[in-house]
Amino acid sequence: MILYNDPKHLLRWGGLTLVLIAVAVGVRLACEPEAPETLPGGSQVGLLYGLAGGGIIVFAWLLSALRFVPSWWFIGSRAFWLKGHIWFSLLAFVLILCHSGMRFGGVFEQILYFVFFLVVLTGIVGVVLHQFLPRWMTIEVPCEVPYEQIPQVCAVLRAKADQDMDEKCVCSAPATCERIKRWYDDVVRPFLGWPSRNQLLSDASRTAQVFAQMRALAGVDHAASKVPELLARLEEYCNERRRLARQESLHRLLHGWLYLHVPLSAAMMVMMIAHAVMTLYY
Amino acid sequence: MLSAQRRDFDEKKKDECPYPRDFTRWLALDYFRRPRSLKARRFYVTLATTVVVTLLSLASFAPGLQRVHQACAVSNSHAMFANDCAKCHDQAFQPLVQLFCKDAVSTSDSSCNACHQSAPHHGNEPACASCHREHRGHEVLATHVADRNCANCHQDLSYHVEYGHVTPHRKLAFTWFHYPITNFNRDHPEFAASLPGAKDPSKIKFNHKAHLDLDLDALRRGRDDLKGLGAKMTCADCHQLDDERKYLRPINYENHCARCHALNAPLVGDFAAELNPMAAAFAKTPLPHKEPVVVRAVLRDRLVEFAQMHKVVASKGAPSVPRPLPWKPVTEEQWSWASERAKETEAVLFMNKQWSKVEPLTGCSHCHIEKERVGGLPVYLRTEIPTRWHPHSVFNHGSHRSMNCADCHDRNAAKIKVADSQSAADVLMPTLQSCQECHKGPGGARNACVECHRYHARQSP
Repeated sequence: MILYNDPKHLLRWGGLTLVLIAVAVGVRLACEPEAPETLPGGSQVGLLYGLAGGGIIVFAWLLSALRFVPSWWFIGSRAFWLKGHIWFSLLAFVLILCHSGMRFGGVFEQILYFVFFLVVLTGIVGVVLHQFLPRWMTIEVPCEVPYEQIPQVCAVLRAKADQDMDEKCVCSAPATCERIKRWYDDVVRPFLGWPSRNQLLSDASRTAQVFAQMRALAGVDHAASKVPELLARLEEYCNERRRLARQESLHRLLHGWLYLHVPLSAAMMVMMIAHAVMTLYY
Repeated sequence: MLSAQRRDFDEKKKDECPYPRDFTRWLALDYFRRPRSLKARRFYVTLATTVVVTLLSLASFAPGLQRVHQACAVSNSHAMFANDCAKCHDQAFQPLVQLFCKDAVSTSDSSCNACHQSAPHHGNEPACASCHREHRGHEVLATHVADRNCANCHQDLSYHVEYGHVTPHRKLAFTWFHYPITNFNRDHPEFAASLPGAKDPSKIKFNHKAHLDLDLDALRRGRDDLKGLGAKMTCADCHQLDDERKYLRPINYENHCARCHALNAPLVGDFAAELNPMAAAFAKTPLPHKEPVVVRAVLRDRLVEFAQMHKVVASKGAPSVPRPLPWKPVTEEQWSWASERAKETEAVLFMNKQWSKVEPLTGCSHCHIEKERVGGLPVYLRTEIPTRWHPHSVFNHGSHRSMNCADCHDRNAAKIKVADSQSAADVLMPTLQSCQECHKGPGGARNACVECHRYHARQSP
């Protein structure tokens, strides 16, 4: 979700979150007694803050369950849930701080706080990555394909390269063709496959250099030869493959933070339930 | 779209085929049925994390590991139960009930009373755990009670008590301490002893100024009973700390007065030269600090013994005045001599006069207030020197040892410096304001209710 190009969204959701944070902190300070000790999380005020914060965390967690239910109108759009997930999770962190009175409790609570902090931190990292990575990907990878299709597209690229090699690798000097075929089998073909095996062609300038050397081979520029066209097509395939590899790495970066965010969120949810059961029971 | 793909499409267009038939070669149309590596990996990582954290969380519920859930350490005296929550928390889900009922506590009084036998408080009895909040990391739990627990009732006692209502301890009446009290520095009433018009209830004549102005060096000449004292008297010469260094020992004649104000009885009369040392020794031996009847008896007894021992009068007949064993029988002459001398001595001793500094004699009325005379002997009022001025609170002089006595006691309701006080009726106790200047909470000494007041005090709150 792009935030910076939607001032209305920032104003509505960011403003609402800031106002709610200010109200929550203000009410908590107003409820604070004059005694040197702050109200604990188990007090009436602390419990209300805990319930509010826990409720928002459950709401944020339900985003992952949204895909399993039909898009009924009363549920709200996925964009609404995502906005609520992002902004209200920040509010939840402040509410939990108010719940505990800025104390971090015992060992279990300290770990829970640390996990919660990591969840919020990875979430913020994810939001930041989503602000510029998709646009960056569009610039760097104009031939963007669906991520899941990359292995298939690579396979097709290699099949077409194989076909072109069979049809067009015809030289006046048979030794040159042999050399080109060997070079294709050793360097180009592994690179075009998925996952890519030979990294010699992963650099654009290096690729251009390699193909320039291949074009300089004796007999390649024969009038009847289709080798120059073959080399041009292979270079094109290699460039496409390199862009796909770049898309892959950017995609992993764009979604890699979820490797931390989702498992940590699950861990936090389990610990939160354990904390609630234990503290509410005793 | 890939350039190779586009070229394929372009070639197909040349063949006038609106939809490239080899589209499926480029894209796997059933890709959503195939496992997606990133999501699959993330699912397994999440599942493994959830399982591990769930098992660890369940393990933390075990009695031996419950300590990890404690928000803060329990007090030292409860450390032995730190790993067994159920030992004290015998009421389940009370924190949840607390949302609707403020007084709900998960630790019942019976659980506390299993070990603690505390005296009751007057008025309604709140639960132990509503005031003594555990899991705050206090070393001692008992002395950490928030003011709000006291102010809960004392900010509006009229709401909690009915006029004339009889509690097990007293009949309630609206008195000065039933005013709203929420904070020591805000609305705590003046100490009763320091209220306007308050007088020291003691029935004794005492002059602080006369004592503190004494030139002990001058008095000490020729006397060896003033050793240990400085050039001037100080407060601590009489007001001594008790063994706990909290309160002052009660003022006591034997310990604090007798050294200077000994009850010496002079032997009046002319004696042979060889009897003068004995007469002087008689005068130096003080009489007991008892009731006048006892003093009279002891004086007569000593005079009779003096007469018998030194034969100051000739005895004509056999002893006729009966005396119980183990005393020797006394003759009429000896008895009349002793009675005569006793009368003269008693006239001085029981004279209703406070002796001035220049007069060497010390009589009972120098300090005591005569109420009446019965049988020629005075009856003195009981001194009733207060041993505790603020019976509803506690105080620790030892904690204030860095201060001089006058720092606090000069700031009294009588507005008289202790060194200038000439009457025992002056109340020289510090006022509320003098305490408040230091005990002001954050940034000063503590000002919580429990600093001075004890809820479970057996005699008074």
